[in-house]
Amino acid sequence: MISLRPNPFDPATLDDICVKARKAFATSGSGAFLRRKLGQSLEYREHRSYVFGDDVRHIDWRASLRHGRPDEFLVRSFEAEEQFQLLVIVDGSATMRAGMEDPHRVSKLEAALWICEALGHIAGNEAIGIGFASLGELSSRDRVSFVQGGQIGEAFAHFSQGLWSSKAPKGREEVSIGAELSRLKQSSVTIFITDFYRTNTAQAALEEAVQLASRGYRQAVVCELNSWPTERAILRDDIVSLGAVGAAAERSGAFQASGPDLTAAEDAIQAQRDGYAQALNRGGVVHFAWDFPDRPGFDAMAEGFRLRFHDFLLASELFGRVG
Amino acid sequence: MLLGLLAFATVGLFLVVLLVKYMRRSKVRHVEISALQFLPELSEARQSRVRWQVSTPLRSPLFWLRFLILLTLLAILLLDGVLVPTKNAPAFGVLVAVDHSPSMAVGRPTRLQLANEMADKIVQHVTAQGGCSRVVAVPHTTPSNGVGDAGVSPIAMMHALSAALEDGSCHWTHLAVVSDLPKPPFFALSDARGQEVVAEGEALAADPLWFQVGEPEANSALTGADFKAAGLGGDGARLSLNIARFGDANSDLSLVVTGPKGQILSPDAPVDLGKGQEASVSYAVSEPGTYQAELEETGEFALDNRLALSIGAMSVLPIALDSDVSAGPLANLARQMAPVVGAERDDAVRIGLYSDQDGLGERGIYLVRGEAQGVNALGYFQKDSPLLEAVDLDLLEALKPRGLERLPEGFRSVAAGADGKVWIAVRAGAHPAVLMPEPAGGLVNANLADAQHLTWLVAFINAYRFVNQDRQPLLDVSHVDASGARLENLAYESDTAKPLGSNPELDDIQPVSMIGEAQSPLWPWLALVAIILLVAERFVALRLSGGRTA
Repeated sequence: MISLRPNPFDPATLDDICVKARKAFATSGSGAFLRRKLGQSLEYREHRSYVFGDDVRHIDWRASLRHGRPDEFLVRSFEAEEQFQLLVIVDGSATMRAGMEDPHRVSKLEAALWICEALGHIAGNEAIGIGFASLGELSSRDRVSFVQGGQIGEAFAHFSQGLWSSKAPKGREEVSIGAELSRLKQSSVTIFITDFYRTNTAQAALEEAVQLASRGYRQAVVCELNSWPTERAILRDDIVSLGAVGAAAERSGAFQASGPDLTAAEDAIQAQRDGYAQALNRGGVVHFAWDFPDRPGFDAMAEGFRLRFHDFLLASELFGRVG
Repeated sequence: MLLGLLAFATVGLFLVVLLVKYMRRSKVRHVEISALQFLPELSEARQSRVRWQVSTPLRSPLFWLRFLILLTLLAILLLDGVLVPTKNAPAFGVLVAVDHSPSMAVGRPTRLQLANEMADKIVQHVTAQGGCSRVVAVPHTTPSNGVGDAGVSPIAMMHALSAALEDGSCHWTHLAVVSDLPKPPFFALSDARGQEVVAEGEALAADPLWFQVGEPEANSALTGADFKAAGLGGDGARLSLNIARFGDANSDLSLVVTGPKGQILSPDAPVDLGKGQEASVSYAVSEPGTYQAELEETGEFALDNRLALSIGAMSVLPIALDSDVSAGPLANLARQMAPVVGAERDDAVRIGLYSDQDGLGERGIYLVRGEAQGVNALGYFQKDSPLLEAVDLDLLEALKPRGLERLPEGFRSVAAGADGKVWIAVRAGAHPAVLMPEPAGGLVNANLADAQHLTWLVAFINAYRFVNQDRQPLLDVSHVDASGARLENLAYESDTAKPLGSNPELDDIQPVSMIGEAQSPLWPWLALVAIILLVAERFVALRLSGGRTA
């Protein structure tokens, strides 16, 4: 097994990307990392229509009269803000690990760990708490620990080492979400780094986890690592024999993928991705598709990583909500 | 030759085949595709789709290993016959030559004692380094006095060392010479002991370690003598003795020269022997015999102070020309060879025309006049006679010399015609004589500068040498000891005042890695490389065949 290679970013480049991401939002500046939650503070948020269950003491009679609808009352809502905490969940399944043994490729797991490290650096700079977890390790007994500042590096090293050296479970692993995601604070942001190759129950479990992570004021970001462009280039250019990946059996021999073969595979993958996208298309969930470059190799991947990470920061709304 | 070409072509063909095979090889890449579950059944790769790829062999370690194996095999065929020198293990053998020549007895302590101490130090150093050594005395000494009987030159030292180099008990890597002489610029090894020893010793003798011992000591020596024979004008014979002084001038010198009868000679002119580095003392001598010269000095080295001078004759033999040959080219030639005197001198070589038996009584060369008519030119020659040395016998025949009908009494024939007539005859004894034909064209008209007379000239000069050969050498000089015994090679011994040079440091004498004369062929080493490459190729191939390549 090759070792985890260094992140293509150096810290200065990463800081530069953060600055650029902040500038992209009109509300950038102080408080960019604050997340709102409903609260009982004196901070007025908005007027909204009265619904059953609202405290009648919050009905703004004067505003309701000015609104001019006698059957509709307006209530004043208040909110509190607090620094959010970031949970990064990495999918450690077999499809994420494909290509780990090949020194000329960058596996999705390696790219995911690069993203984790970059996010950890940002969290350290912004003094926000961050936690790392893999999908498999979230059980009802485990607790995700959030760390800040100087502890982030140590936590990431421990996490990445454990995930890198572990082996993917045989067959389709389930996602043991447990109560951990339910215990997340309202101001939490959870980033899922995965591919959309899970199927059946594993897919449902992932979708449930994303739903839990986006409940209420919580925010969920699903970063989909799409390695098909790279793999398609390999299948197109080389004569290959295919090793087993997860539950998919090995195909030994010498194969040369034809155009129709690739088209058929691409259609199947796209259908799978569309299913995920449709399921995740709900409020509080941000879906970001991270496409790998269409040529294999470490250099191409590292170059693509630098470009795509900036887009990912913008799309994930870590520095502010769009709109 | 044919087999070699065949093997060369075979290996070259394999090389080309290997290259083509790898360039056209369809490399099957073993990959993990994360989207494997979405892939349909893929098409089998077809050979026709495999393309030429230069990069494929360059990336393959197996290709490089197989390429190197074939290259090594090619090199074995190409470099067949190439030899490489073998390198032996570091060796350390020092042959220490201690000069035991007479001048080593000079000094207190003597130079020989100092040399032996130096030799001991060298031996101790070599022994401490784990090497072997041997001390050799040059020249070999006699038990009586510890030094050699005669002087020795640096070259003569190597004569003695040749024997020591034959000693196979040690591999000699250094030659150390301990002497009172300074290191000579050239030090050659004698080949008296055979070419093999010379070849081995030349490397050592090329740059010997030279240790010089002994402080400079003043010395004076009789270095030689010159003799001037009595002149024709009545001036007497002169004997000159040469004296050389080495080091500081020694004023206490005296030279005593005694004649054959024991009489003490006086120098022609008084000479102050206390001045100058060289001096020459001249004496008038009047009779042949053995003279003795002895130099008295206060220096220690006395072997070069005594000379024995043997004078054979006081003058050269003159030539007496008969009246028949007193003019013309032959007379001119005779005057160039020796003084020409009148016929009354008893010790003269007479040159004249042959007339009859009675006229042949004296030492001389007698010429037979006239050409032979109608004689058979075929001649019979006594090939080992000195008279015919360097004489072209064919040209001698072409002269058609007139021969004598019969051999004169006391003569023996050297060359004769086919008709039995004598052309050249010689007589040995107290009055040596030669009979030979006159030059072509006669005594008066012959042009001796003409090339056709060269044969006659050579024979004439040979004849003059023949009639002079019983004469003793004019002067013979040698160093002798007090008993009159002859001493050799004292020329290198007299200068005991040579300054001391710088000696090598003992620590600089270290074991050396000798490049031996023996050479071994290169191909076994190349074959070893090929075998190692083959093993590596098998190892890599087995590993890869169990792994990623189909």
